[in-house]
Amino acid sequence: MVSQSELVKEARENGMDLLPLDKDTYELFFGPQHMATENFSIILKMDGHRVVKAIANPGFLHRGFEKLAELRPWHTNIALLLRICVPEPDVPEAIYSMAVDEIIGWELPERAQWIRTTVLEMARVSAYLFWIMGLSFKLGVYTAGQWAAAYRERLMALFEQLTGARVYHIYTIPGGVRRDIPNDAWLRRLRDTVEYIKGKLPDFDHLVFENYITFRRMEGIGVMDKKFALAEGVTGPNIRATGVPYDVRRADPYLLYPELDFEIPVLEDGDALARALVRRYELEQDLYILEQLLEMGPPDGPYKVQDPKLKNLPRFKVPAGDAFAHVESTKGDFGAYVVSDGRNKPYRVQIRGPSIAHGIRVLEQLLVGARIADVPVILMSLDNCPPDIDR
Amino acid sequence: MKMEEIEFKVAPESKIRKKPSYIKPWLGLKYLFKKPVTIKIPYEKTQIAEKYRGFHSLDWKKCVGCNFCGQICPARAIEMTWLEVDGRMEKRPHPKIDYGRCTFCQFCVDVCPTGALGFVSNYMLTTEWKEEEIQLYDWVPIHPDRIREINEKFPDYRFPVEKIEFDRETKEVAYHLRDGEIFKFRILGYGIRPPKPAKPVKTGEEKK
Amino acid sequence: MADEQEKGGVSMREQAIIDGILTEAPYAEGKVRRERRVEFKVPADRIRDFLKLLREKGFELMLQITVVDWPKDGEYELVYQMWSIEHRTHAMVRTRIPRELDKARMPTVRDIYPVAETYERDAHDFFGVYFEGNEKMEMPWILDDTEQGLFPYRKDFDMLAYVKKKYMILDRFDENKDNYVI
Repeated sequence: MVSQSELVKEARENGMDLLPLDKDTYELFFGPQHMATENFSIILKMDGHRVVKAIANPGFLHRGFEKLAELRPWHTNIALLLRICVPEPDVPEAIYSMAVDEIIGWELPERAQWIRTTVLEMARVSAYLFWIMGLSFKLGVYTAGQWAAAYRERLMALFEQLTGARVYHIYTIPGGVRRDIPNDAWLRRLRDTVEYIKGKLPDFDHLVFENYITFRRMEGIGVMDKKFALAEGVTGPNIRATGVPYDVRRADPYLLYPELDFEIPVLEDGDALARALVRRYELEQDLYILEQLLEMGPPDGPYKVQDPKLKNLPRFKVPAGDAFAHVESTKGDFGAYVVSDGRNKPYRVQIRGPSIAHGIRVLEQLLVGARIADVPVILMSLDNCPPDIDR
Repeated sequence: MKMEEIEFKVAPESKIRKKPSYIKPWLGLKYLFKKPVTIKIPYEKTQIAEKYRGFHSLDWKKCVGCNFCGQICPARAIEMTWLEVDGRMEKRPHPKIDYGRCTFCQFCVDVCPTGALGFVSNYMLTTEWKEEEIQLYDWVPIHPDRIREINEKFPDYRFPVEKIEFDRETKEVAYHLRDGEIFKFRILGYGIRPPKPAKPVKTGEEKK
Repeated sequence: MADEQEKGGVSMREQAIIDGILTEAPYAEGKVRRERRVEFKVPADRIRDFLKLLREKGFELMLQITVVDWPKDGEYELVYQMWSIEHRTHAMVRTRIPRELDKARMPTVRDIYPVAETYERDAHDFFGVYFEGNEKMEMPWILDDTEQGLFPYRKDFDMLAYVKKKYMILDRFDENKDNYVI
């Protein structure tokens, strides 16, 4: 049995000491079982209702993906690695497939590129609706959150018809996609869904984004400036709200994005309200991108690379080399680095989630001086996703 | 195609900013008088997609026992099994699938070279933690035509087998299907190498 | 013709970036992989000067520090992944350090790029690389207390044996799953 004094000594050495700073402060464990933090733990030292110091404590969702991926053949890793980001499961599939495609060096057919782009955009829309649900629940506007969950259902039904499952699609593989579009009725249904969600955006504006209570709760909270954000490696909508126009879809184009036309929102304030408004505008732009893709229509041709070596999937070998691929997800810049040494299994797979940059150091510095009711609001405005950190 | 000359098109700020208001949140009240979109699941039914990834089906005549499905499974849920039906041993081993480990990714269906392994849209299997009910979680799949007949009689997407009996000493397995038929066979061993002949109680050799 | 000029134009821009950096850092080597991807090789003790130089030349973001284990050469390879918003280029900076746990030490770069503190904690917890100057090396990061000194991502860590020892595998079946096909 370990005695209490030994525990206290060990905690104090690691900076997580259990004694208060002085007689007016206390410890608050914003622990892993909490709906606001999504299985992430923060240790707060409080003075009254203001935070004095915050320590982030990740590690509750660690499943060891990078080691497990070294024991399985190349195509099978898709079924494993997509469990890294739950609201947007197409993004880890896409980056792994893009990195393996680059090592092999083959050219994707056009139909496969169209389908991959559409699936990525649908995943972005559904992830933004999931974010609106989370933000509404934390502000107290439960009505708008339930609407967002209901509209996300329609996208889940579309995914079910295309890929065979609602959340974990297992659809994008190195070399293309696994199945074809079922029939033309699917394209008509997608167009109807896009029109429907576009018609409901003013309702969200009335309740969440033009609400006086939202402005009171989010304006001036959690302010970052440009130099701080660049030094801390922040990417995605968080850095676009501080004035840096960095979007991977425009800076390092992939798939069909060079042919599409959309705008990038940039604001200068850097507080929580600016981040929320940037995301709201990007949701509108994503619906516009889906309309353009539907007008283009899928080109004809094969949906997978036709290679005779692919008939023997368990023994499919990839030449030696390494590659880096990244994609713009709703949380930031999602990247993968894959190393191969010529066998039928990967040598090293490393996934970089965007929350490792803004979930640990940025959070600890933004929370100083916040009230206790501001802590979930700051977490949600940064869009922290703990499985990215723990992998 | 030139990828260099793509400029950022930055949106004007007037389209992004919003103005706070006291009156507009009350406009959400109009949904109070509309019909809710909830579907009451046990009483109403939803539409399942045609090729939803569910349980497996196996054509015993086409399966050659190559073990591609076992090598590609990401969760190691497939085990090759030597069976004896009506006194005659099947010439090739067949895959036995464990649904406690299966992720329903259907890579095994994609990689099967003869097309023997397939999948159906049934997905419901729930049991309590009783020993005889847990035997339902691993099985050698049955012929797709048989599953289709059962689905026409009971169209509610449940597992086609009601009960599996496995006798540990004699290694006899009996499937009690939902429309009353009982399907019996015996397990002789596991792995890719054939089991040692004759003795009925011994388990198979080690794998490669 | 236009294709050749295009290809020449695209990789010439990356070549210009590399030349601009290599004139001030003669101890490094660099090459162009394709458009928007460049690669540098640096000896392990000059990494701080090189990263300071990169910071001045416009590489503002550090994306990740990756460790790759090569047991045949007896070395760890550290790959620093940098992104430049101004030049729209990704740069990989590679170094090699010895693999034994008491010799795998590197200087920290957290005063040049503050986010490197988190990445260095990650590399330490999983591979055992010690970064001198980083005061959060002893703070627990992701692994629990029982796995702290094991450094599980190294190639000589037998994961299946450790899992069988630690957790009771609840296999209820007849066959034994000691030998797997994969």
